[in-house]
Amino acid sequence: MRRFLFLFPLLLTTPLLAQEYYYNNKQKVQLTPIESNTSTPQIRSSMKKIRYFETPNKQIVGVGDEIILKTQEIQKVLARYDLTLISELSQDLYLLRVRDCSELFTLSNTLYEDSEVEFAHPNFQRKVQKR
Amino acid sequence: MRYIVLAFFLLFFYGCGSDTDEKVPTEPTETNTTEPTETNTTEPTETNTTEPTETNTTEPEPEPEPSLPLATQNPLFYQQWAIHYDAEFYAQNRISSDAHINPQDLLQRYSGKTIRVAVIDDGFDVNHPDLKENIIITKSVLTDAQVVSDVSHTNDTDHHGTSVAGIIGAKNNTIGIMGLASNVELILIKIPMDYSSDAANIKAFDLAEFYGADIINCSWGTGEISDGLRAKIADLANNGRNGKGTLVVFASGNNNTLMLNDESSIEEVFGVGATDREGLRTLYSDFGPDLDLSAPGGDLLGITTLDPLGSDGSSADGYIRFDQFTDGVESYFIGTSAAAPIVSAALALALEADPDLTRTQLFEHLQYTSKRVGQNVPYLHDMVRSSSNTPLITGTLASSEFSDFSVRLLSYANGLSYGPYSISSLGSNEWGTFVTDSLAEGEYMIEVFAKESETSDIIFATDQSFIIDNELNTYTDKELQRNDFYGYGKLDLSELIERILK
Repeated sequence: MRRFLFLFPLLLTTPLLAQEYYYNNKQKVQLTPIESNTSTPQIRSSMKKIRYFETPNKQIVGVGDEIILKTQEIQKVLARYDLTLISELSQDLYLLRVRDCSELFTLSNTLYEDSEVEFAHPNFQRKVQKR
Repeated sequence: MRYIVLAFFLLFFYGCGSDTDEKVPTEPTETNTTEPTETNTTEPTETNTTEPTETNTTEPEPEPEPSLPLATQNPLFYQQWAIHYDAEFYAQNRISSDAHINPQDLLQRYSGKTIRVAVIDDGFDVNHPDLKENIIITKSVLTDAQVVSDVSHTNDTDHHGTSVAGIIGAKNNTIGIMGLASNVELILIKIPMDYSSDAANIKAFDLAEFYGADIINCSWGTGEISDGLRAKIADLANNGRNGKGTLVVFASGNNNTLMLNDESSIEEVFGVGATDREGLRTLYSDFGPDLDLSAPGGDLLGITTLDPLGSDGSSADGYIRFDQFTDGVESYFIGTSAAAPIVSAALALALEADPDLTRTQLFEHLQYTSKRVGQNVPYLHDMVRSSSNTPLITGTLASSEFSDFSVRLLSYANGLSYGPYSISSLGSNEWGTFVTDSLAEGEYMIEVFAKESETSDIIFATDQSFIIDNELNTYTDKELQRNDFYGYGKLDLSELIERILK
């Protein structure tokens, strides 16, 4: 019984600390959430509610409510999912907005696995490093 | 970049290489993510009204300017050791005679005329007198607006884009320097050099495509590229220039590590490392199988180039010198950021020589003509010293062609050299040499000479030094050294153009 009592609060807090993942270069990439504080970059963007994650390479990235997606069937995709088209970034490459930020990764990964979609991932904010 | 590079050096020498500690100030909101298309984008409103074209279809005639006094016309040209051999300057600064890109008389025959080079960067001084005549378009991905201010940058003081653009396309005139491709048409595209979205970065390349860039120079990287940006760059490189392929050039990075899985590692991209005044890989330059070639990027000696005018720059007159100090701190321009634009400019000259060249053809030409820095020379792969003052140095012969060589050691502590020591075969392409002198404790650089010219030409020098320390049983990292010397070549402009014209 004591073990269950110990596990209970852990289970309650787990969703708050849950890792997310996305697909990049046909591989699953785990992201570790970082609480926004004074040491995280204060990214200014039109995207809603920026959340911060650390990549396996220890880089900090930000995500909001936008997804980048490549498809030749954008109308079918828009009809099938709860997405708003923001712009066509390039040929067959689209920037889309999700309604619920908390569904960003779930929706992005679902899209990635859709046969009509070549790839999909959140519109990450990344550090551009001069060299 | 210079501050980052200098910081890197400090960190490197003290055993730390992190580059993620920069603060992130304000970034303008990314309010407009609409891509430019034929229908939704207004035409550029720059004073230069040249219409953007998909490609340059007319084959330009090289315009020989046989009597053009480059050195006297551009007062700082003598300092541009990467693209020009000035005997006095080379001697004064102990530069190896082959540290440059071997331009011969090509700068008087080619200037990149009609070739469009997009520079995606930040910190552009669009009114710099040595640059503005060659600028045809300036754009910002953040506002979709023309960049019109004297210095447009995200950070308060920065010069990066100005310096990079200057190496490519500073005008051949009576002031300052001249770019390697001094008549190119420059498209300056501003991205924020802090946090930038994948969408904004994609848009930068889309703008470059829209304005007809033949070549795109990127002296930056994100460390982790997304599928979206990778697809955009690959598409441009494969299908741009009416199917001939846009030439996309990226700097490899300055952390002396294997190249990251980022833009510079994309197969279709020209990934560029940096060489120093000896023509060897610099201590900082990133390396690996995805590195395509190298060019001078400076090390102890910087690359003289443009600096924003006025208080936005770090110099008094709009030029960063090879030996510049600002407030007592070294502030010259070095890095793979400086090497990449030299390659971009060389590609512009190559396209001027033959506009119909495809990306893959140019890639093959570069691979064939680049002077070997690390490939087909004896790999130095192991050294056992067992706390001995007379260590055994061993290595592997990559080619029997280079079997006849000897080894010299150079002390970092006092500058004394030891050797040369002849090598002995250890069988199976292995070689070794015993150091017969008793070495004092300290750090040594290893140089390898062709036997017949052991007093002059270094055919191979390790960037890895070794340390004699009687308390430690030190050894070199075999895997690191194999990667370190992964084959890549230094740009040789004359060989390149000659091969193209054949």
